[in-house]
Amino acid sequence: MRITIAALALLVACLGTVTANDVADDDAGYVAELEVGQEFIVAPLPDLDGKPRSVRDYEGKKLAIHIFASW
Amino acid sequence: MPGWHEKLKDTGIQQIGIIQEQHPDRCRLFMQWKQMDWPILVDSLNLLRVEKVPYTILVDGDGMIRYVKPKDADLETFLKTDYKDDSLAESADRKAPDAEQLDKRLGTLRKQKLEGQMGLEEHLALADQLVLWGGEERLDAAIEMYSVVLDANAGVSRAWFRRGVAYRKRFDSERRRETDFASAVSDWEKALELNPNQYIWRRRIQQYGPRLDKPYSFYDWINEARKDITARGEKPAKLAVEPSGAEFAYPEKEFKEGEAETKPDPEGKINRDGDKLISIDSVPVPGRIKAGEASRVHLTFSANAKLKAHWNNESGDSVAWVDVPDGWSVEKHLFTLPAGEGATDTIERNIEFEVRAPKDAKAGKVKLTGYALYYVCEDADGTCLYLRQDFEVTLEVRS
Repeated sequence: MRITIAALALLVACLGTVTANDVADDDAGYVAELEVGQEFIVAPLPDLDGKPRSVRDYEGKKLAIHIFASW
Repeated sequence: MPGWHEKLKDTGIQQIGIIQEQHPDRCRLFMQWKQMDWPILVDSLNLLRVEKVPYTILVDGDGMIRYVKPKDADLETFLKTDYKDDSLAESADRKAPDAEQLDKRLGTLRKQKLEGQMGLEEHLALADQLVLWGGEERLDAAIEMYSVVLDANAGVSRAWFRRGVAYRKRFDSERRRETDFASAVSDWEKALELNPNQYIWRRRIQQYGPRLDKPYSFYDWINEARKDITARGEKPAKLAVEPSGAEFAYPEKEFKEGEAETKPDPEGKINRDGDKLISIDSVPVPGRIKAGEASRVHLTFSANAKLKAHWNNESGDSVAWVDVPDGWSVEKHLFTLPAGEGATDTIERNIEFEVRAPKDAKAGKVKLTGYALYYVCEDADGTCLYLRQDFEVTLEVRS
C-alpha cells in the first residue's frame, strides 16, 4: 500500500511538472514553429523606437526575416 | 546579415530583422554602421523562443514560411514563384495593448486568486506585455507578475529568463534598484540551469561573464563603427547603455594572474565612510561557479544622491583593492576608479575583474574582501574628504 501511495505521489508530481512546463505555451501568439509550411508569427514586437510592428504590416510582400543579434 | 543585404537589394523583397539582444540601441548603431535601413523588431524577451542566431527565414506575401536558412538556389526559386496560400487560416490580428488596457488587466489579475497552476498563462502573458508595451514605469508590475508565476511554479524556465531581462531593463532605467543587476544574473542562471541548451539565454550571462567562458567577444565592433560613421561625416547613434568591460573583453584561453602590487593603506588607517557617501554594489557573473571556474565581478561605486555627495576629481585617483582567499586567483588586486570630467561629478564608477576558484575548492559560499579609497565631497559646498570603505563579494562554489 505504501508503495502504491508513493507511486501515486510520484505520478501526481510528474503530471504536475508536465503541466508546469506547458504553462502558457501559446505565449500570446508569439510562438510558432519556425518551419516551412507554418505561418510566421503575427503578434507585434516593438521596433527600435518602441512602436509596435508585425509582419502583418507587410502583407502582400515577400519577406526575408533575419533573426540575429548585433553582438 | 550584410551578405544577405547585398543579395536582396533591388529584388523587391522586404527585409526585416528580429533581434535577440538586451540593448536594442546597439543594433541601431550597427545598422547605421552597415548602412542597412530595414525595420528591426526587438525580441529581448526571447518570445519567439529561438535558441540560436543568426539565420534567415523567407516568408511569402500571405505570411507562410517558405524557407528556413535558405541557400542561393532557394532564394532564386522564392523570387520566381508566385505563391498562393489558400490553405492558411486567417489568423486574428493582434494589437499591442495600450497603457489603459494593461493597467486594467493588471488590476483584474491582482484580484484573482490562483488555484494551483490555473491562470499562470495569463500572468506570464501579461508580464511579457508589460515589458513590451508598458514602459519603464510598468517594469515593477512586470516583475511582480513573473514572480507570481515563479512562486507558483519554479519550473517555468522562460519566466526566469524574462524576469531577468526585466530586472536588467530596470537596472538600466532611472528606476534602478541596487540589487537589479544581481537579480538579473541570478534569474538567468536559474533559467539556464533548467534549460542549458538555450544559447540565447547563455549569451546573456556570457555577456557580463569571465573571458574564459566567451566563444568570442561581444560588442567589440562598437569603437570601429563609431570611427567609420564619424569618418563618413555622420553622427553615430547614441547608446543608452555603454558596453561594460566584460562586453568588450576578448576571450582568453588561460587565466592570467596579476603581478605583485603594492597595497594602499595596508594598516587601515584612513577614516571609514560611515555615512556611506559612496555606495558600493558587487555582482559576480556568474554568481555560482564550480571548482576551477572563473567569475567576473562587477563593482559599482555611486555617490549618494540623498546626501548630495559627489566625487572630487581634483585631489588624485580613487582606488580599490581586492583580496581573494587562499588558493584563489585574481587577475589584479589594485584598480583605479575611472575619473570623471570636471572638478566634481556624480557619475557612477565601475570596475570589473576576474577571479578563479582553485580546482579543489569546496562547495559553499566564499567571501572576497576588498576596500576602496576615494576622494569625495559632502553636499554642494560641503567638506571634501579622503575616505575608505570595506566591501565583500559573495560567490558560491557549487558541487
